[in-house]
Amino acid sequence: MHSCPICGYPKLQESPRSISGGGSYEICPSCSFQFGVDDDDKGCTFIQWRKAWVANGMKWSSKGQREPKDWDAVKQLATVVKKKTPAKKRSKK
Amino acid sequence: MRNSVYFFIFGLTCLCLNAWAVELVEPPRVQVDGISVTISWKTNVECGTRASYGLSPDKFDQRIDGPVSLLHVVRLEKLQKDTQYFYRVGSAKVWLHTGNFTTSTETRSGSEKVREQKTIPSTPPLALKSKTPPARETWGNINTLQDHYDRHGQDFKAISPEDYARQAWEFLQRAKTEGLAVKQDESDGSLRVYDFKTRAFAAYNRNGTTKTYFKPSSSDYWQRQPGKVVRLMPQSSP
Ligand SMILES: [Zn+2]
Repeated sequence: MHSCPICGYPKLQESPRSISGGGSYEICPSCSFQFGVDDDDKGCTFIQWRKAWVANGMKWSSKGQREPKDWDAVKQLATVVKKKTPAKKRSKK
Repeated sequence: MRNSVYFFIFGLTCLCLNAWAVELVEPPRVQVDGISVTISWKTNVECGTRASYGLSPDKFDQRIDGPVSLLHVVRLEKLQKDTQYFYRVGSAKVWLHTGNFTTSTETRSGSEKVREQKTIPSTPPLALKSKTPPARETWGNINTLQDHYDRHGQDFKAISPEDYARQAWEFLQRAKTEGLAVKQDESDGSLRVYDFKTRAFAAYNRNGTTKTYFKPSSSDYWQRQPGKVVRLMPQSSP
């Protein structure tokens, strides 16, 4: 399992990119980003997509896959936003 | 003293520039398909894509540019029939290879005239069936079909997820029988197929099941896709 670099959904079936750099074409059922399409074709960045998803209320997007019972968008998002946030620099004396 | 420091820095810069020099990893592949030609090449470092060509070795009066990449692909179209062309490939800064090719009157779907092209016999098991199998057999992960249909079904006027999956499977069969452009991703065995006429694109798993099927909106999407250009064998009779 792989996690979505945009919304943090932890159960993507494939890595968003293969070793060759190609997209997986998987559509994240949580935020609906399609790797290799929304970025490579549409030119969207992860940050842009994340902002739009958050602005739209962080809804479960897939119609084909049911929203997990214990699904928590905020908790899930925190896993990816935490990773991206650089550690605070300690002030030198 | 100051001069020797400058000399040292200059020497170091030259050394670094030399280390980063763009080189071909292997000779370019040239695929002649009637009056269209696809040239692909790999470089050791990422650089821009540029090819120029013309009717004599001292007159490269046509030019095509592409994106920064390790794998470079350009397609020259609307060339003259049965004519020798001279080409060179490289980046905006340096030419890496010069060569020539001769166009033909026939396309790949007619009598074969394909050079420097690798043919792979990897006919997926599904291709042996004459009728379109159901989506649960042709779609890689059936749970995802609805979402792909919702996004891309309208590209092909598909009327249902099943219809969309059927069209995606038939597209792979056309890649074999009509010789559509195919790239094989050596890192995971997946296939990417593109039809220059309809601008339809699909990706398939190693076993021939579909990953996605859609029409990209960017004009150089296919050129930017990774993978080795291959030719699928025509479908064997059932
Ligand atoms: Zn996501």
